[in-house]
Amino acid sequence: MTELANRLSGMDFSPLFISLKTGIAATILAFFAGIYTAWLTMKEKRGLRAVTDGILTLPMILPPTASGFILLLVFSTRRPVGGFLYNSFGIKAVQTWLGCIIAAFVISFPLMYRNARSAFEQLDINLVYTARTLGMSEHKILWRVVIPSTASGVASGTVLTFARAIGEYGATSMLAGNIAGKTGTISQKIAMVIQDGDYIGAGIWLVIVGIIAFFIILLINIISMGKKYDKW
Amino acid sequence: MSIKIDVKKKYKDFSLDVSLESNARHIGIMGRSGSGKSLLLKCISGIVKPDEGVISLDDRELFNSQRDIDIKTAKRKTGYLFQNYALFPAMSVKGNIMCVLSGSVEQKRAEAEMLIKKFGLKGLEKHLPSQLSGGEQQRCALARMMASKPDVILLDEPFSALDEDMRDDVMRELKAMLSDYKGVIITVSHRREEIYTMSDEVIMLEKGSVCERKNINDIERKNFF
Repeated sequence: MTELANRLSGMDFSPLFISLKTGIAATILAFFAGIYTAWLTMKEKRGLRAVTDGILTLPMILPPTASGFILLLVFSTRRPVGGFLYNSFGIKAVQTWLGCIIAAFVISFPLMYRNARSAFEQLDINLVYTARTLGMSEHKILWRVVIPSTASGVASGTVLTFARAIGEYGATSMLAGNIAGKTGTISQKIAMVIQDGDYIGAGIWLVIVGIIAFFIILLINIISMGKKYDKW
Repeated sequence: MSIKIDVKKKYKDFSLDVSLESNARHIGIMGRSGSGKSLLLKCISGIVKPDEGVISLDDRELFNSQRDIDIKTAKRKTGYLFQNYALFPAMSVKGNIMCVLSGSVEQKRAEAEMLIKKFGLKGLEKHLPSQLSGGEQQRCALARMMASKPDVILLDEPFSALDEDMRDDVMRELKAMLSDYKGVIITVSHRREEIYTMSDEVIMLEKGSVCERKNINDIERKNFF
């Protein structure tokens, strides 16, 4: 116990804060991007929707390290896109916290998109048609009719997105690296301490990440259940 | 107000080919299931785009394939009452009406209050659609539709979701509530008594085409029920 207390008092908690802020930022981005993309694909024809869906889901199927490698190719300052962003706007993704966000966003986005799309597919299409005949704008239909009517599906998509974002490892290590206090997330920290044979340190981080994940899921479950709760 | 419909639409294995012009205030379209009644309403409202033809209200063209006119559904000013009423499930009765209204909050509140009173929804303002009876849901959907100030009202099997014993009362109620409406009302149903009670002109649709057309006064009363 004394050893544990000593470990805790001397611990660097930066991986916790980096993971949390990365997870929050990536989830906010994935939330809006996922919802808008799902909304747009719902308006596409069957064949085109299948192709778009395949492309948008790719980061979920590809190994995260492969996605990370592609991101590295895109955002490297020695490549056209990365070079343009760095030279024109001073934006650098490689080995920066921005890289953590981009990697977490790319990997977690398909979860938000697919959950939102599944929720939209369950919606009675007549609600959308009715809203249009009532003269509502497409933006208003999405946020006032579709999202509230599919709230539980969208909320569970958000939880999964956040869980995936805070646990991201492969793509983050490729793009952002593991710089302590800058890009070092909990997942990277756990991998590092295990490599060093520090199983107590890994266990502490495991408990921390487990508690965070549980409380977030609990909170979202309570929100998504709302007043409408029927016991079977 | 007059309505002109001259449309062709191929939809899966079905072919709709309707041509009619009417000055009647309340048009009833009758036909069996699969005769194209709902598809026709969807073409008028802009939910489904016809392959070719013209749809116009007085001089306002909603659709004209030759002139490349296809007014968006949101701009057509057509109120559509679906069979299941399609009330927004997460909004209260008042919310369903308020979300359609424009203007300041005060204006919207006053107009919503007026519609709630007119459509007999007083005391139900905070109820969710799932907490309403079939008749109340229909009145709420009508109040919401009237909030959008439509030029034409499309009623798609408006009584099919109601119990048999409620139907006659709700039918009379609906007719009374729409009595001061100035635009065109089109009701489609496969039930003769609904069409005869609601309409001034009856159009019979079969396999996607108009097969018979009569003024309500020309129909012998004994054939009504």
